[in-house]
Amino acid sequence: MYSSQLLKGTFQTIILKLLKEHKKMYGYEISMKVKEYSNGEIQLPEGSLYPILHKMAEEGLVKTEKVNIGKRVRRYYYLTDAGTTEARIKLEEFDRFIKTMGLLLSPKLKPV
Amino acid sequence: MKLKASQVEFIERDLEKRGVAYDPLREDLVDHICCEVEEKMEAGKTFMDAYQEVALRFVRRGLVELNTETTSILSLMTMTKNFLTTAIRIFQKSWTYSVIRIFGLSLGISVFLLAVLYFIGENKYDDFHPDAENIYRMGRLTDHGKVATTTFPLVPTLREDYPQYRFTHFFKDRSKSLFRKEDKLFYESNMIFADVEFLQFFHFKGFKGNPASALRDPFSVVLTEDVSRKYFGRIPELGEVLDFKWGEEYYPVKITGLIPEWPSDMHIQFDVLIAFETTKTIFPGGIINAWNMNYCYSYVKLPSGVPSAQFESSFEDFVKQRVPDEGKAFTAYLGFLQPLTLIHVQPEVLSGYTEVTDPNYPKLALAIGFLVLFITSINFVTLTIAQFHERSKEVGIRKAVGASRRQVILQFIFETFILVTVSFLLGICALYFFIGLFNQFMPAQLSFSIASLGWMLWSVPVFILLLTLVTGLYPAIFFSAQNIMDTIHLKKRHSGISLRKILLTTQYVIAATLITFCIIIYNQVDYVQHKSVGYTTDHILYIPHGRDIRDNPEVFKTMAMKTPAIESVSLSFYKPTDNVGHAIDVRVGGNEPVKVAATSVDDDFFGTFGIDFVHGGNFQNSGMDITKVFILNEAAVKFLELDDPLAATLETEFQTGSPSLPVEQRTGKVIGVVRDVHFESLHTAIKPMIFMVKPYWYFYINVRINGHQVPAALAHLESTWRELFPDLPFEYTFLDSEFEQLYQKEKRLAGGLGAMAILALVTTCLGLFGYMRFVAQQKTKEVGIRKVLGATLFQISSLFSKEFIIAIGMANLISIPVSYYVSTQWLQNFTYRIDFTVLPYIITLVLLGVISTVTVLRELIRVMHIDPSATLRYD
Repeated sequence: MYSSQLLKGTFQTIILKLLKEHKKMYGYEISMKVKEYSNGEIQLPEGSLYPILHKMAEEGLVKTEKVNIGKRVRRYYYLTDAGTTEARIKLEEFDRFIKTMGLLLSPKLKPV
Repeated sequence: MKLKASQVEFIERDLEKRGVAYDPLREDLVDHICCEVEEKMEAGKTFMDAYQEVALRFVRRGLVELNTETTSILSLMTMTKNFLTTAIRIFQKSWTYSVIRIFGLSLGISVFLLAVLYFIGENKYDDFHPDAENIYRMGRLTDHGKVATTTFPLVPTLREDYPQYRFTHFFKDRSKSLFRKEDKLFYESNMIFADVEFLQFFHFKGFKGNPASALRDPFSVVLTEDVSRKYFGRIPELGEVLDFKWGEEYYPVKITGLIPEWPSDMHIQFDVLIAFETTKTIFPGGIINAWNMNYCYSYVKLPSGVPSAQFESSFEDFVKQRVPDEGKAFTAYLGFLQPLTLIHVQPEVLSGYTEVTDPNYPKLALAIGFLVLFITSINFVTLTIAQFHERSKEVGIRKAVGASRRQVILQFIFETFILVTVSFLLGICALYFFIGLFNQFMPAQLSFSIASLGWMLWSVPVFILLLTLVTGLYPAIFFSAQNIMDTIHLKKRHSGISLRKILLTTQYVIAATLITFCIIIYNQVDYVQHKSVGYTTDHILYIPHGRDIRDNPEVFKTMAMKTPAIESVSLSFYKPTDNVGHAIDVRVGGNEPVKVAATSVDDDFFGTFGIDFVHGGNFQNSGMDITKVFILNEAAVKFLELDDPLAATLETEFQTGSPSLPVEQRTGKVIGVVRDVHFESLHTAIKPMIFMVKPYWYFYINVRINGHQVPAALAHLESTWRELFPDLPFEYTFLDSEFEQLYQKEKRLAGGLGAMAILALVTTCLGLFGYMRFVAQQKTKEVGIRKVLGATLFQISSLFSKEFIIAIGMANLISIPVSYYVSTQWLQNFTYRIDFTVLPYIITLVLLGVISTVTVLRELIRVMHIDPSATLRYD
């Protein structure tokens, strides 16, 4: 388990990445997949998941599709074109971030 | 393992209760929780345990905060969309209420707009003429008050003395004129002689011809296109000719102008204008120069900036210098100026051919329109509050989860706004329909023109907002202010005089007043319509062409009387229902002369109408020169203070209208006295009247026919007419239809008010329905307890009926003095009126009682059949 402080900024990137791969997902599915892929190391709290999803919907990065499951409604989220672009940017950004972090925090850190 | 529908519903309700108000978020969470719960149940847990576990995690995280966090990032648009979906959902839940509210309010709005349109329409007559604000009609003062007719030489003389002002005048008398194009012959009653300036004063859209010169040359004519089509079968070219009969001769007249459509909002309505110059040829010179014959209507256009008072102040000098002195005040020739744009709403200025309206009617309409809007708005409010039961829980929850009072108020106002807007749109559609209906029944013609729409467009948002606030604010405050626990549990609410009761009572007062007033108007109209006028009116017809036979009436009379189908033929100046406006100076002995209404009749007149003699007898029987003797009615005997009327000698002096003898003095004996009969409408008292033989005045041929031989009589009359006057069309009207017309204004008023009364009644019942529903829901439990304790159905029903019976009783008490005052004021219009009775008030009371009971009956029966075990089980 990682501290929530460490994770907070990465949630949106994680969600974007998952949606990019799975085309369309619903909230519970996302949280399950996060748990599964991280071997239970990372739990995406509902308290963060849903505000982020609704914020992205508001910004036009994702759209929703309603499907009736018995009495309840399941809202699937999928990326828009803008969302796909955003996902790419965020992933690239995160990639650079990791590299930079690696440089910064690597034990073999030496001035070249 | 799938969750059952009831379990999903339970979760959804629980989340809503715990503050997840934003629908999309709640949908997400329900799905999420369901998935988790399903998993846990597959692992062997019960639904309740599983749910408790999952919910606890969410609750700890803070559901309200989650909701707030999610909604705080939403844009205004998404918020509005959410408001809208909430509103639509609520409408779906309670669509009957919404439909009733929208329907009622749109009715109120369209009636109100109709009244506004009517009011504005009546007050903007003639304002489209260029310089309308500088045009005045000239009038004079007489014993009867202000009169609009003036003399022939007035305008030509004024033109000489005031070259800086512009003048126009036209001539019009009672007669119809015959026009002919080859074999097509028609009487034109809307014909005037108008001078060249007429078309410079009054503007006609799309006028064909030159307005500056069309009426310059004698024997020029300007027609409306409608009339021209009658003669030509098409719209004629300028320069085409038709014939016009004056006296014994036909004169060719040349068309110099065509009016596509005479504007309906103009104070005069004519079809045919003949150049005034024509009168110089065809009229005897005596009339054209007479300062005592008033057949003209004269107008002046002052330069802008010149006040009318400036011109008026010079009247006295003008008359003294230019009018041959006849010992009358100057105001008898030229007394006042009347602004053109006010002519339509000043019926006090007497004139023959002017479209006038009582200015009180548009005001009354506006007041009633406002009243209707008011009661429909009250209704809207009452019905909103009637949803109290359904809505209060929702509001309570909203508030429990921290929605501020402002938010709740906003939500309600927003809902009201949508309802009001929809009602407004519907109201506009209904208005379109109402205008058609209105134009059928009222003399005024309203149009749904772009001009009126343009005016409406900018006022619509203001109007909608205002109405939203009026109808939305109280329910919003009402709902938002409820104590949460009270609303959720519907604790017994304090009773007493609530605003709702006052609103309901107010609606009843308005409905009761309108109904009572309506009944009284109806009774009065029925009374005057059926009160005996004192003579026969059945099977009497009149031919308005007495002038054509006045020189030798016996020829026509003898020929007409050849068949037994025709019982009596006579001639007269006035026909019954006419306003006897002509008055002559009568002097008895050495007394001062007094004015007495006079008419010219022939020997058979009293026989035709079956009017009895009280003293003396008819003209012929007297054995005296019939052009020297008089017959009076009883009122005249009293008025002239004649102790022995048959011994009296009267000296009279009057204007004849005849150029050969403008003023006649006639001295003679009274040879008969007839019973007082209602010659005029029952608005006025029976006038003192003097009857004499004056063939020059004969205007109507009155014919009484045998009721069993009407077709034969008509056929005989027509063939006689054709034989004697082959080139004059035969026209006649039955007197009955004139009597029907007599109280048209009152019938229209009764009709209009009746419609309003029904509307008020319907909306009041809707309001009552809503109110009862509200009360019934509040008292459901009470009824249950009372039933358990053994209350009878009667006791239970009185629990409910008490409320509205008190409202009706109170409302009637209040409405009695109001409607009494209004109806006595209105009855002042009649000299002969119904006595005051309590019947209309009782009818109103019973009517309201019965209709109200029917309205609440369904709800009452529902409540009475409530099974206590079902209602008491709740908490």
